[in-house]
Amino acid sequence: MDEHKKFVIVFGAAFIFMLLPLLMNFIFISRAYENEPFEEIAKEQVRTDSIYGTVLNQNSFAYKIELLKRVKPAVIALGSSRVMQFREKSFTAAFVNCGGGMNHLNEGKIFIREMLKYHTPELIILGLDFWWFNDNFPQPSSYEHHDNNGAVLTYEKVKAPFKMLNTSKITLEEYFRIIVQGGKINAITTFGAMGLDGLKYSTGFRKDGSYFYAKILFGIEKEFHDPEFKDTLGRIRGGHSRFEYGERISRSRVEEFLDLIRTIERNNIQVVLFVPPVSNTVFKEMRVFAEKYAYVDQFQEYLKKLPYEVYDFHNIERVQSNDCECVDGFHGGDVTYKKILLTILEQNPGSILGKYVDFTMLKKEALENRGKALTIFPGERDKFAYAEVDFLKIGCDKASRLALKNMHSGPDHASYESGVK
Amino acid sequence: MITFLLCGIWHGAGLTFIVWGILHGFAMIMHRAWKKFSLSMPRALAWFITFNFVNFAWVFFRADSFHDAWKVLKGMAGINGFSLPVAMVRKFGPLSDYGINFAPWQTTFLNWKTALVFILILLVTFLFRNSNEFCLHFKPNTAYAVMFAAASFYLVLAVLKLQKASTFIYFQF
Repeated sequence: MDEHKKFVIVFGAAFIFMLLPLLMNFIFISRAYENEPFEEIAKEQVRTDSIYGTVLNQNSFAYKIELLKRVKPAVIALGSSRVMQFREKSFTAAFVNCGGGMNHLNEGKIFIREMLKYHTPELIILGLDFWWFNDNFPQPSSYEHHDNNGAVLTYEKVKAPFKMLNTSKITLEEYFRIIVQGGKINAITTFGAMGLDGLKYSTGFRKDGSYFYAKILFGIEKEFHDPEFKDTLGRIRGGHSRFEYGERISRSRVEEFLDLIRTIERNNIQVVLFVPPVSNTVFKEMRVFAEKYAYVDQFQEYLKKLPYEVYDFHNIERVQSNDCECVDGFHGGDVTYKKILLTILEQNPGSILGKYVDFTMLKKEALENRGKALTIFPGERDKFAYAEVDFLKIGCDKASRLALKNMHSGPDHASYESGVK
Repeated sequence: MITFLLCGIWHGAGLTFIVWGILHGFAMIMHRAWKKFSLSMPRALAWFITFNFVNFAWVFFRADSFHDAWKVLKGMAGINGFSLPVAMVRKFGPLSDYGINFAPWQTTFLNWKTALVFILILLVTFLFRNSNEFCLHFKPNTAYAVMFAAASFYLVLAVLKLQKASTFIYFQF
C-alpha cells in the first residue's frame, strides 16, 4: 500500500514540477486577457473604456462581431485595417468600427451575414481596397481563424511568454508583475488596458473598434516598420504584399463585390463606398508603375459608373491630407479619416452621412490636429503622457496646436517641445 | 465487427465513419482467421500491409464525404500524378517531361527537424516498450512514477497542440 501511495505522490509531484512553467504562462496570458472570450472583452471594454491590444488572438472578425452585438450601432465602418481610423466621436449616432472584419471581398459577405444574425445597422461606410480587385492578390476560400473565440488555448499560446521573454518583448519583472498583480505595465495613457499590446504599449482597439497606434505614433516602438515609407515603396517596386501588379480588373471579384452590395441593399442598409487613401509618396510611386497597375485605373473608372454613393480617395490630396497625417504608406491616420468625412459632406451636401456627422465639430477637430495622425479630443487631453512624434522620419512638424503640457516625446525622437524640424 | 461498427458510429454520424469502423472490423476478422489457420508472412510485409491499411482507413475517417475520400485515395495512389518538392526542381526539372510535378507544399515536410522527429519516433516505436508491454511490467516505483508523469506532461502538450493555432495576421507584438 505504501508503495502505491509513494508512487502517486512522486507521480503528482513530478507532473506538477514539469507542468509548472506552463501553468505560470497560463496564468500570465489569462491575467493579460489573452485567453478571454471576445464576448467578455467587448463587454469589459465598453464598460471600462479600455484599449484591447491582443498579440495572441488576432481575429478581428469575431471580436468586431462581439462589439456589434454589444453596441448595436446605427453606423458601422467596414473594411480592412484601412478603415480602422474612423472614430465614434466623429459621429452623432452610435458607431462601431468593424475595420479588420473584412480583409477580402468574400470575407465581407461572411461578415455581413454574421452581423445580420444579431443586428442591422442603418448605414455602412464600406472601404474598398484596390487590391481586392486584382486576381494576383490571392483571396482565401475559407477563414478557419473566425472560429477562434479568443479563449482557445493552444500550445503556441502557452509557450508564447517564453518566446517573448527570450526576445525581450517583455522583461522578467513585467512577466511576474502581470502574474501577481495583473493590470497595466505602462504609463503611456490612462486608458484601461487588455491584451499584451494594450497592457504594455496602450496600443490596440479602442472601445469603438478603431485602432490606436500608440507605440508607433509616440515613437515607443523600437523599429518602426515603414520609415520614409520604405517598406511600402519596396512592395510597389517588387510588386508584392498587397501591391501585386495586375493588368486587368478581376471580373470574378467585381461579381463578388456586386453580390456583397446586393446583400447589403436587400437588408435595407444604406451604404457609402469609398477608396481609402495611400500616402502621397506612395501614390506618386504607384503612378510611376502605372502600367503595371493598370487594374487600379480600371477599378477607379469602374467605381465612377456605380449607381451608389461612392468616393475615390486613393489620392490623399483629394481629402487635403498629406504624408504627415499617415500611419504608414497605406494607412491614413484618424485626422485623414476626419477629412474623408468632411470631404464627402463638402462634395455632396446631400450625402446619407450628413444625418450622422457633426460637420462643424469635425472641421474644428481636423483643423486643430492637422499635420498629425492622431486626433486628441478635448475630453481626452489629460489621458496621454506622450505626444506624437515624427515617427515616419520625414520631417513632419508634430508640435501641438493645443498647447499640451507635461508630455514626453518618444525616446528615439526629438523632444516634443522642439518638435519643429 | 459489431464492436468496430459501433466504434465508427460513436466517432460521428456520417457514413464515412461507419465505413471506417467496418474496415477495421473486417481487418480484425482477417487477423483472427489468419491466426486460426496458422498462416504466416514475413514480419516486414505484415507491417507494410497493416500500416498502409490503417492509412487507407483513416481517409474515410477524416473525409467529409465519399467523394472527398475518393479524391484523396486517387491522389495517394498516384492517379493524379506524382509530385516532388519544388526545391528539387533545379536537379530534377527534366522529370517534368515525364509527368512529375513540383509542388511547393511538400517542402514543409522536408527539413532536418521533421526528419529528426521521424527518426526519433521510429526509434521509440522499435526499441521501447509499447503501452501494453508497460502494463505487463508495471511496478509502482519512482522510475515508473517519473516516466508516467513525463508521459502525462506530453499528453497535455499533445492536447494543446491539437487546438488550431491562432494566426498573427495584422500586427506583430
